[in-house]
Amino acid sequence: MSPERPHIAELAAVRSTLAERGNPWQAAETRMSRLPEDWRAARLGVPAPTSDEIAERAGQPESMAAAARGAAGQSVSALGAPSASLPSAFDLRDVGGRSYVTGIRDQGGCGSCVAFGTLASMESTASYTRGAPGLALNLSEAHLYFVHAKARGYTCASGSWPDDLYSDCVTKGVTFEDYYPYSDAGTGAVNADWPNRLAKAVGTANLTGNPAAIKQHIYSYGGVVACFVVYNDFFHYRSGVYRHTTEDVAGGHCVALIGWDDAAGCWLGKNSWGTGWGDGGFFRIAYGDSFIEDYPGTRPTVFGCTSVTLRAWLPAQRTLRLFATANDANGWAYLENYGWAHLAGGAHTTTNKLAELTHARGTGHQVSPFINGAELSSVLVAD
Amino acid sequence: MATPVARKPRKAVPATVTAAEAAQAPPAPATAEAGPDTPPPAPAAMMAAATTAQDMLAPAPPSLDEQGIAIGDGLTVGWVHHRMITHLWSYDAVTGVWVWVDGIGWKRLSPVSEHGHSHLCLLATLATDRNLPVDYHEDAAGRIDQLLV
Repeated sequence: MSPERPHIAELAAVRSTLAERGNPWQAAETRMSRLPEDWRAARLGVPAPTSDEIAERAGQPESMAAAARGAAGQSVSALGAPSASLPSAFDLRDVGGRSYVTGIRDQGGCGSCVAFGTLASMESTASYTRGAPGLALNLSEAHLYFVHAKARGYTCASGSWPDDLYSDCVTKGVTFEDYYPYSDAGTGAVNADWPNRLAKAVGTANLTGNPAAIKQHIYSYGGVVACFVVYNDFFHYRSGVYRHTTEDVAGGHCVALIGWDDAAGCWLGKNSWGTGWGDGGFFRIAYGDSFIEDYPGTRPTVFGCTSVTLRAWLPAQRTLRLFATANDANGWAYLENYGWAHLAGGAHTTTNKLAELTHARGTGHQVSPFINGAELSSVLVAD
Repeated sequence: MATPVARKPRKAVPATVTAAEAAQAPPAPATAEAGPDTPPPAPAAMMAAATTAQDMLAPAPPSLDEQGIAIGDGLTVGWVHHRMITHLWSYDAVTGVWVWVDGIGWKRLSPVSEHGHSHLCLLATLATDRNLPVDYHEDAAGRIDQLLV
């Protein structure tokens, strides 16, 4: 075996073990397989648990799996959920043929996975709660990690925790990718206008250790961020339902959970290792495996939010519906890639905006909206 | 108060309604006639005079299905779906616009507020101009107080 390609032997060992277990998942040479051990570790941005912390969680995987399966059929109270009870399978990439999951990102050689998992969750919630798959929000992991997390003392080497980063998303907000493009070196700087191109999380929920609540949240509001223990075989995952086949711990990692499948007994996950790993960057992991519902240690590690507010100009788009009531200042516009937006301001400005928007709706002109919170505060209609 | 004369079958009114006709008593309403400032009956948040703060509590737009048709349990009572507005009629009062709903007849736009009335008028005009179907909600007096185009 070539010393430059040690992963070949590693991969063969994983495949052999999988074959003994009936091939529950498929291992292959991924872009992570080819990385040296220390480069792989650099991508694991959640402080690794101690062996004692893992030992204390004996029995947790079984209890979490049972709880996850037991949630099927549970009633759902959120008004925005597709139905009144939890289905046996759900995938935010295919909700009535629509996808509420943004594209796979690549965190590169930095332990910034918590930022990627957190923003994947927010991006999903932003579009899912509005029923607007075309929103295609792309938030700046660089802003969250190299500005907000850095202010807390986190670095690429230290990793971070989702409770801290989600808190920053609530209080400070995160700008869009074009205002601070990501590079794993943390180079560049955030655009000084970032407060005017901002997304904020609202209604964060700690879902740690509660598989039923995780399902409820995904079904009602969109994806959640979750941390789990990474075993050394995970780098070679290609497809199938992952269960760790080795006890060799590589570290801790953070992803977004975007659905589940009770028949296969697994969560659907979105990773941040590019499309050259896993199933185009996505994966399936067995309920309870790798402590994904409750990471060993004392910190909460599964979070979601119930909505995402924006303050930003959005791309030009069509106005599909207009709505008004007999009240003085109650006008709404349904924007193709945003959903319903209340027209901001008092009676006169509502009249002005409705006049512009009726023109745009009638002629098919696109409008560039400036969204502030839940309100449409400016409208640009151009030929 | 002036109202258009109800006619059957449907007939354009603006060109034919005379001042005398406009002054005629309206057809008997289903409930007591509301004054020009009477708010729609529900929900409770709309009962008071409209202000910016109260407008934020006013009804939100209905949910839409993939074809853009309004859906939702709360919309089945008082809501009329997928109708065409073919004629508009107004007289010299601040809140004096009526619309002809194809297959139903004349409906007054709610006079609860002047601006709200103008907003409903804007949308009704759009619907007529572009032949767009509308969903609308009637208050207890049978006036259109919510309009979706």
